[in-house]
Amino acid sequence: MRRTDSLVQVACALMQDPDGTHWGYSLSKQAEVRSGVLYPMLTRLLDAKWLTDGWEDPTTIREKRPPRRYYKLTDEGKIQLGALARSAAKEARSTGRLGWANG
Amino acid sequence: MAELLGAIASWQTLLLVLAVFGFAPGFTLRSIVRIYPKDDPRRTELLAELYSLKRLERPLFVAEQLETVLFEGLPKRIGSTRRAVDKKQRRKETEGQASWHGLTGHEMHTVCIKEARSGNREAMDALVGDLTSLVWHVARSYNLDRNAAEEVTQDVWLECFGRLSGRSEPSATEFTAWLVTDTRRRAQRRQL
Repeated sequence: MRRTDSLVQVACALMQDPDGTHWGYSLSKQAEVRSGVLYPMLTRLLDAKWLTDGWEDPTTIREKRPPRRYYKLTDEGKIQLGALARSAAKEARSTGRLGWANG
Repeated sequence: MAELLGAIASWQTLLLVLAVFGFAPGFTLRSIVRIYPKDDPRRTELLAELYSLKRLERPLFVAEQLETVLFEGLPKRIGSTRRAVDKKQRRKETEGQASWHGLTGHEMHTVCIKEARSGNREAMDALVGDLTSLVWHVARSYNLDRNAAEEVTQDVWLECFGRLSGRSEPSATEFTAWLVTDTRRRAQRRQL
C-alpha cells in the first residue's frame, strides 16, 4: 500500500482504539480525511485484509435507523498500521524538534 | 434556449434545489448512491450513516458524499457496465462460433451428434437444418402429400433425437441411416 498523508492520518485514528469498532464517517472526522478519500481507502484496506467489516446488529439499535457498517482492525492490520502510526509519530517529533531549533 | 437557461439559473430554482437538499437529505442521498453498482455495500452503508447523524449535520454529510460518489461510485459503475458488456459480447461470439462452425457433411454431423447428445439445442437445430431436406425427399418419394410428409418428418426427428440419447454414440453414417430407415418405415405405413 502506498504511504500517503491521509493513510498515515487514518492509521493514527484507527490505532487510537485498536480493538474497537470504527464507523466510516466518524473515522473520517477523527482522521480529518474527506469521505471521498476515506471510503475508497477503506475498500483498499479491506482488500489488503488489514481491516474486516460487518454490519451492526439490528437488535441493539434503539433509534429508528438502518444498521451501520463497521470496520475492525485485523491482527495483520494492527501490525502494519501500528508500525505506520509509530513511524509517523516519531517523524513528527523529530521535525518538531528541528523546527524549534531552526526557529 | 436562453429562456430555458434563465429558468434553470433563476433564484427560484436555486431555492428549490436548496430546499430539497436541506429538507430531504435522505431523498438526495438515496438518488445519488444509485450511481454505485447494484450490489455495492456502499449504497446501504452511506444511507445508514446518514440516519445515525443529527438532523442538522445531514445536509453537510450529503454534500460531502457527492464527492465520494463521483470519485468512487462513478468509476465502479463504469467498470461494472463495461464488464457486463464484455461478457455479453463474449457470449455472442461463442454463439456465433459454434464448434461445428466451418465444417460440412459428415464431419459437421459427427460434431453436432456429440453436442446434441449432451443437450445442445443449437446442435440439434443445425442437424435438423442440414438433414431435413433428405428426410423430406425420402418421404415425398413414397407419394405422400405435403401434410403427410411434414408429419412424417417431425415424427422421424422426434424418434431419432430420442434414440440419440441412448447408450452409444452413433457415427454420422449410422445416424443418417436411422433417419432414412425410419422415414421409409413411417412413409410406408402411411401409404397403406
